[in-house]
Amino acid sequence: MSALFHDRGAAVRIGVALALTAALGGYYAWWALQAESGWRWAMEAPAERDGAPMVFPLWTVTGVKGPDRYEISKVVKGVPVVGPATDLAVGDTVSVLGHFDASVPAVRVEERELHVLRKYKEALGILGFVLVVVAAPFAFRIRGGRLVERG
Amino acid sequence: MADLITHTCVAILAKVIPGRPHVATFVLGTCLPDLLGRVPSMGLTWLRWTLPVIPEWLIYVWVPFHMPVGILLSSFFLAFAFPEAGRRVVFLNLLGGGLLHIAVDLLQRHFGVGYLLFFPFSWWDFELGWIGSEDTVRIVPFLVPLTAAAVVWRRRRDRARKAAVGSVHPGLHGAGAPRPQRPEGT
Repeated sequence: MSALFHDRGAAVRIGVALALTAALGGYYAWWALQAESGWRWAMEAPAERDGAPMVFPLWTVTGVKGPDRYEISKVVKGVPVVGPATDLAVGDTVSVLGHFDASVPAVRVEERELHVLRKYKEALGILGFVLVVVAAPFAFRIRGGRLVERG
Repeated sequence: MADLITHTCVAILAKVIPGRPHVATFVLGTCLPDLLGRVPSMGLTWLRWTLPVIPEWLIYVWVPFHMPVGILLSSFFLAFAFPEAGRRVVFLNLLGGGLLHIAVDLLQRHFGVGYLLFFPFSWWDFELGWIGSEDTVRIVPFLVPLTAAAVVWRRRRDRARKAAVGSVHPGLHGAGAPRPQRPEGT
């Protein structure tokens, strides 16, 4: 295995690893865009896809239109949802499980989770990111153009 | 995903308690899945709300960095940023840290979707669902002091061990101590 890590021929191996990574990313993106589920897919043929199950994990509330109507956004912006909204505010994070109702058209909620601690988790995520960036020069140094762990 | 503070603390504990070396590289490895796989996706998703010109595929291409196969590949090519001597160890630590990240994330519970552990070979998704997706927020106030205490404990223990070795073999670590000579022919 150690032959894989030699400097000789490293450019080829790095190139292959990067190409494989790009191919993986491309494959995942292709799959995500043509997946036969989700709001966009349902809206392509609303009558045919009426009643299709829909899952929206960790989407942001971007509009509250009434006591039983709101909008959520993530990759797709402004997906209309029919379900209890009295405890929701713009900026909240929710996970929604429901089905597509072509007559509205909207997602009709069957189950919903309001992630009340999401803001704190995001703050911890940002704090962790900042700490990693700040700590990096204390943990690693550059010697001869290479990274070396300190200590 | 759990937050980066939780991941960092867990990685430090996993290295410091058994007294294993390369803590920083292991911690870097545990942060990479989020830094490469989540931060760009989340940033681009947010940006796309105001800049719809950003293509949707650009949001998705980063996601495999948060999967075992992506962690394997990113650990491999990032290991080349380190010197040749010890690069294999660096790779194993980056990979180990990344897999620990996935293990911690697997504890969580999400609505309807788990983690694609065998992508691109299978679309089977899995998670243990033992904790809610925000429960790490409640754990952090205990985890950070615990990690700090473990680091202090390890430093004291290592210092005491070095002092004990020094007292048995005085001058072994002292400045100007003669280096032991290797006998001829060995």
